[in-house]
Amino acid sequence: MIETAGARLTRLLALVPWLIAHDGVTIEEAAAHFGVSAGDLERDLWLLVVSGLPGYGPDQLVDIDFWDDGVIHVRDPQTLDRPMRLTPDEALVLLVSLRMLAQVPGLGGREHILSAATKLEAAVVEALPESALPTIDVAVDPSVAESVERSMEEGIGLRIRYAGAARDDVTERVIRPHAIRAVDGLVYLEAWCSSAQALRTFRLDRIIQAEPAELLEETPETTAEGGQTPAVARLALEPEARWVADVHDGRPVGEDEHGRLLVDVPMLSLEWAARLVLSLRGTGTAESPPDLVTAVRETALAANRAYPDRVG
Amino acid sequence: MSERVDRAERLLNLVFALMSTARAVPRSVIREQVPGYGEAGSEASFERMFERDKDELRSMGIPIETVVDDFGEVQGYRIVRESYAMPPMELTLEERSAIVVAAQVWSHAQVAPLAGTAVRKLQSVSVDPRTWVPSDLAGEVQITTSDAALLPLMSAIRSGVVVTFDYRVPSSDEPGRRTVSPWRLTTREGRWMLVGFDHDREDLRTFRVSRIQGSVTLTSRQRRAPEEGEVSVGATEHAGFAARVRVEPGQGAALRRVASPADTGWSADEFDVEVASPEAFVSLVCSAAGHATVLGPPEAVAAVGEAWQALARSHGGGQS
Repeated sequence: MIETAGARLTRLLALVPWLIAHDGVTIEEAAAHFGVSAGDLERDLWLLVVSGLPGYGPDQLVDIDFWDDGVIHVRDPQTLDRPMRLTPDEALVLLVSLRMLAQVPGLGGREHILSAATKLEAAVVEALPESALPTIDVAVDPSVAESVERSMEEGIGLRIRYAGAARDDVTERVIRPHAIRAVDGLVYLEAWCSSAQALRTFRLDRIIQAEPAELLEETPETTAEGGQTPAVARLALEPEARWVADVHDGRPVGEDEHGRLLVDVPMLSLEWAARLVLSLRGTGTAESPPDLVTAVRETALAANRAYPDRVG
Repeated sequence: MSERVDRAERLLNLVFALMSTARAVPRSVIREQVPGYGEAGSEASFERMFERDKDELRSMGIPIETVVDDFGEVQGYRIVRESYAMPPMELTLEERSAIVVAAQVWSHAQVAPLAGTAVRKLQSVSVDPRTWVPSDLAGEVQITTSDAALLPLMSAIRSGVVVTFDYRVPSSDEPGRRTVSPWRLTTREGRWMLVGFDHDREDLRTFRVSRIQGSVTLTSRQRRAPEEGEVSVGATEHAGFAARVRVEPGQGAALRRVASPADTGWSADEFDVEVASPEAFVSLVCSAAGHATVLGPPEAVAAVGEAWQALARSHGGGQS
C-alpha cells in the first residue's frame, strides 16, 4: 500500500515525542508499536535527522541516535518534544467509546472512565460542541442496572422477569450472571439460567425486573442440539417486506412469477419463523418448509375466528 | 542538492518553520528557505504548492494561523506552540486502562487506526508511559459497525456542513441520493441513526446509518441548523396510532413493551399501546400469534381482521 504524505507526517509528528517517552527502545519495538516495518521506521528516522528549523545548521536539526544496536535515543527534538493535541476525530472516537463504557452496568470503574473522558476533552485541538457527540442510550432500567451490577460484584443470583423476543413471552427466571457484552447500543448479559439449565444470553433492555435471589447449582450444560444443520425458511417478499432479508441474514435466491423476492432465511425455530411471517401481515409469504406454511395458516385461521363478521 | 524533496519531508519542515518563531513567517521566507519549495519553478506554482500543503496540514488538525496587519494584508503564517502541543496530562492508572479499553472497543471498525494514533499521543505525555494496560473487565464492549459512514457523519456534524450520500429504502432496489443537514447521531435498539434535515424532501428525517451505501461526501455548504426542539422531535419515534389490546398472561412481550403509559403492560393484561403507524400495530398483534385480542378502536379491529384473512389466504387457507 502506498502511504499518503499526510499519514506519514502524522506518524513523524507522533514518533519523536513517543521516542522521548520510551527512551532506549529498539527500531523493531518502535516499528511494531506504530504498525510499520523496521525499514519504514528507519527511513522515518533518517528523514527526521535531516529536518529542523530554518537555517538547518547542526544546532537546528533534529538529533536522534540510532546507530548503536538499533537502540534509539532522541538527543534534540527541536520543537517536536510534545505530541500534537488530539484531532477532533481522534477525540470523538475515544469519547464515544468511553461514553458507551460508562453506560454499561457491571463493568466497574465508571468514575475513572468519566474522569478520563473529561481529561481527553481538554486535550483536543479545538473545543468539541456537545452536539458533535453521538447520543448513546443503552435503554436499561436503572434499577435493573443496579441489581445486575450488585449481582456481578457480589456473585449472587438474580430473579428476573424477562420479555423474550424468540417466543414473545414474559417469563420469570433465576439466573447467575457471568459476563456483560455490549455491542453498539445494546447490552447483553450472559448468564446461567436455572429454568433452561443452560447458559443463555439476555438483552438487558428486555429485563423488566431484577432482584437478588438464592443461587441455584449450575449443572454441566448438555448440548443436545449440537451438529444439526439449521433449517431454512423460504419466504416470498413484497417490496415493503424486503428488509427481512437484511435484518435476518436472508440469502436471495431469485424472484417468483409475481416479482416477489425469494429469500432463504435461517430459522431460529419454527415458532420464531411463524411469528416473523405473521408480523408481515401478508406482505410476505412462507413458501417452505410445509410445517411452517401450516403453522402460519392455522394460527391465522384460528385468530380469524375472533372476527366473526369477516369470515367469508 | 538537486535531489527531489519528498512531500512528507516538505510538510514536516513547513511545520518546523511555522513553529520556530512567535512571529509570522512570510511566504517569501517559506519559498526561499523551506526545503522543497525551491523546486517550484514559478511564483504561481509555488502558490499552488503552498496552498495545497497548508490545506493538508489544516485538515490534519494542525492549527495554522494566518497573521494579517492593520490593513488586512496577510503578513504570514505561524503555528502557536501552545495550540499545537498536547497539554501536560496526569492520567491515573485506572484512567489509562479505561482509555486502552475504549480504543479496543473500535478494534473491529474502520476507525481503529485513529484510536491507535490517539492512544500513542497520550502515551507520549503520560508520566509513566509503560503502564498502559486494559482494565480487568467482566465483559467486552464493541462497536461493530462496519459502516464507513459513522466517522464522516461525526465530522460533518462537528463542522456543521451539509452531506450527501446514497440511501437505500427497503421498498426500492435502487439507492437514492440524499442531501442532508446532519444534526445528531444516536443509537436506537442497537442501531445507529442519523437525525437531520433532508433538503430534497424539505423535512426532518431519521436515517438508519446501515442503509447508507458507500461513502458520505462532506460538501462545503453550511448546514441548516436545527431550530429549538427539532432534534429531539426527529430523534423520537412518532406515536401516530393508539389502540387497546388484551393479551394472555405471560404472552405478547412485544406488545407489552409499547404499552402507554410505559410499563403498564407489565402489570396488567389489558392496556393501551401507542406505535408509529397502523401497519406497525397490525404487525405486533399478528406476531403475538393469536395470544392478543384487539379491543378497539374499530379500525384497528378491522385492520387486524383483514391481516389474518390475508395471511390465511396466502398460506393456502380460505377462499381466494
